[in-house]
Amino acid sequence: MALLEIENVSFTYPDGEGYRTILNQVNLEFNQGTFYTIVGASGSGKTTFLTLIAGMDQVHDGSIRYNGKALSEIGLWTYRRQHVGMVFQNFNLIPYMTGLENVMVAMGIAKTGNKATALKLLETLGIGATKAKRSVRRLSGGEQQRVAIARALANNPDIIIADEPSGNLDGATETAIIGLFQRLAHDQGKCVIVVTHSEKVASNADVILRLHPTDGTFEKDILQ
Amino acid sequence: MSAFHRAWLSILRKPVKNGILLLVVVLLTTLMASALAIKIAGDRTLLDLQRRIGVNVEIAPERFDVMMGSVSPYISYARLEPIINDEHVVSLDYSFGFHFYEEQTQSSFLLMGTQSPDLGYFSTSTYAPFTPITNLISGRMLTQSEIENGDPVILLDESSAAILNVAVGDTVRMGGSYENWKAPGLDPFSAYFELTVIGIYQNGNPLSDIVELPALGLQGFSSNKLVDTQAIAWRMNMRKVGLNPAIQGIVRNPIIVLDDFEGVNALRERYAKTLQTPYKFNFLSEQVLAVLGPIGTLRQIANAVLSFTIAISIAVFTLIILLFLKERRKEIGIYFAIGHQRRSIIAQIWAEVAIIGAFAIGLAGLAGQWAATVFSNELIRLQLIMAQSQKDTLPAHVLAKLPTPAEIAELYAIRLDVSYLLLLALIMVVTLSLATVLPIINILRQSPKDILQ
Repeated sequence: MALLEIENVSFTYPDGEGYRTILNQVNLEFNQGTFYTIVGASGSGKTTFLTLIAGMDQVHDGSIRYNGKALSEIGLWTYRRQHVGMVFQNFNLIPYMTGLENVMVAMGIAKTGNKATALKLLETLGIGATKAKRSVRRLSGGEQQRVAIARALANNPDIIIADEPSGNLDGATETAIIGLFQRLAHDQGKCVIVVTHSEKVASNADVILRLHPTDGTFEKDILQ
Repeated sequence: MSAFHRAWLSILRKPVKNGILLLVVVLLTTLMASALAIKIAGDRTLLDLQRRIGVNVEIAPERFDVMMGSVSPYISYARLEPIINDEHVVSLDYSFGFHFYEEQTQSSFLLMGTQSPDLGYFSTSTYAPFTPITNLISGRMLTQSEIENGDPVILLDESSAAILNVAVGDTVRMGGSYENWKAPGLDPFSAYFELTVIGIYQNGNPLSDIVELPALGLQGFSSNKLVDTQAIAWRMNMRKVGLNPAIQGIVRNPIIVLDDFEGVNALRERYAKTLQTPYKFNFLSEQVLAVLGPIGTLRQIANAVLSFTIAISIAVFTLIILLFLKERRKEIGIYFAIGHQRRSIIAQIWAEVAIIGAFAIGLAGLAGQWAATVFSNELIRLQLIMAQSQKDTLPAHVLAKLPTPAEIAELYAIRLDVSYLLLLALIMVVTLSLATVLPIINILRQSPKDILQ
């Protein structure tokens, strides 16, 4: 059984006098230990799809199941808290906290660790104790994204969802972040789903899902 | 990480914004605190002075007649009776009237009057036409000793004497109850009380009190001041002279003296329904107001400032919190995205407000004390001097109970005590709770998707 099953999911929104369909009867499966990328033109509906699979919005047409259970049954708050970690393009760290505190906020809500666990997690992602205790404003973009990934992992989720995670990073840092996602998928068995415009990120994934803006369907490329 | 911990970090790590917020909150809270301190000191002083002086409750109509101006119609004693027999009532001041009943002629008339004896009034007043000039036409004046001893003598006006058909040396019979009535807790009444007529006076002023004979359709004029003074009101409790107030008594501007200020409300609630419009309770008699007026004014100012400041504070705090939340829309989205529920965010906002509020209470509690002391002490001193200058107008029995300005100033001293701080904290909790209503609605309307916008 797939970790995440998308079944006949459609999504339309009002557009002028009519409605625009951006997801049309989408059927997809996401498995553990796999690194997925979702690519498509701007405005094609990638972010909408991401909000649905991240449990940030209700599915009105079709269903999304996690481990065979509909998200509506699990509860979106519980699903987000226990099973999903989110990474954003602009990091979205709480600006007045340190990296360590950002991770601990997520650990606190999921009740999955303590300060030592948070420091260890940050360490594994290349953020030492000194930097971990700095305000996130004083970290570089790459370091902030690592903290954001650490926060996404704080609740030990099965699914990591990232929205343009390398969009604000230089090439070298992007490579490092790709490496991190690959390790998370292949070494830790996470299901990593990344929405990206970057060909470099896409080409390093196990599976590329191309969203067609005209008909709202996905085309699947299996790379590895 | 708990909501309180997050709130603490949020405040600590944004010192400029939160510093400005704290400053605004402290300023408004200081205003609140000083008004509260003045109000508490005023309440305490007022209550204490009311207890010392006694509480005079006037039951009076508030009616305005185009021709007569403010008028004071009479209230039937029967209606007043249950009120003045209340457990809180210690005495009653009144002007009143009685029906005289004459057995031979089967006639009765109403004699009305005042309680204040004033012999000088009899011969020296020239304030006509409102104050009648009276002339003794037979017999003699009352002596001071007769007034003081309450001897059973009476000075009648000419018209009353004519109606009763009596001359100097005759006796008049007052009372004559129609039924066997006894005032609760007082001496048993005797049916009649006889008074010797010692003099008859004349007063042609048509504006003196009216003698009415409602039962027989008769009426005349009676300039009755001295009649009432000596025969009935002074010293002789009308209950004890055998009159039957329940049937005959007509009371004008009764002033009830209560043993306990708290009794006023109980009394009002109990009897407000039996007193028909336009009668109502007025709480303080003028002599009490003469002393307590300055403090009362300060209390009124303090109440107004307190209410105004609370309203302004709610509006300002709401606005500030909303502005802060608008800036923190993304932060709230982050909390949503990592699985925090709305109640967790609301708890954090509440904790932030509570922390700032706690600091504000600490600072403003002290500042408010200082401001209240500076503001009110000088004012109260000046006003008490003014009040002192007016005290010659007060009756002796009130003057005897009056505290000195120094005593009042000591009573009024603004104190930093637990009740003040608790009350200030309570007001702040209510104010801040109300100020967070709109922000909380704002948070409830936010969605996890907001983070992506």
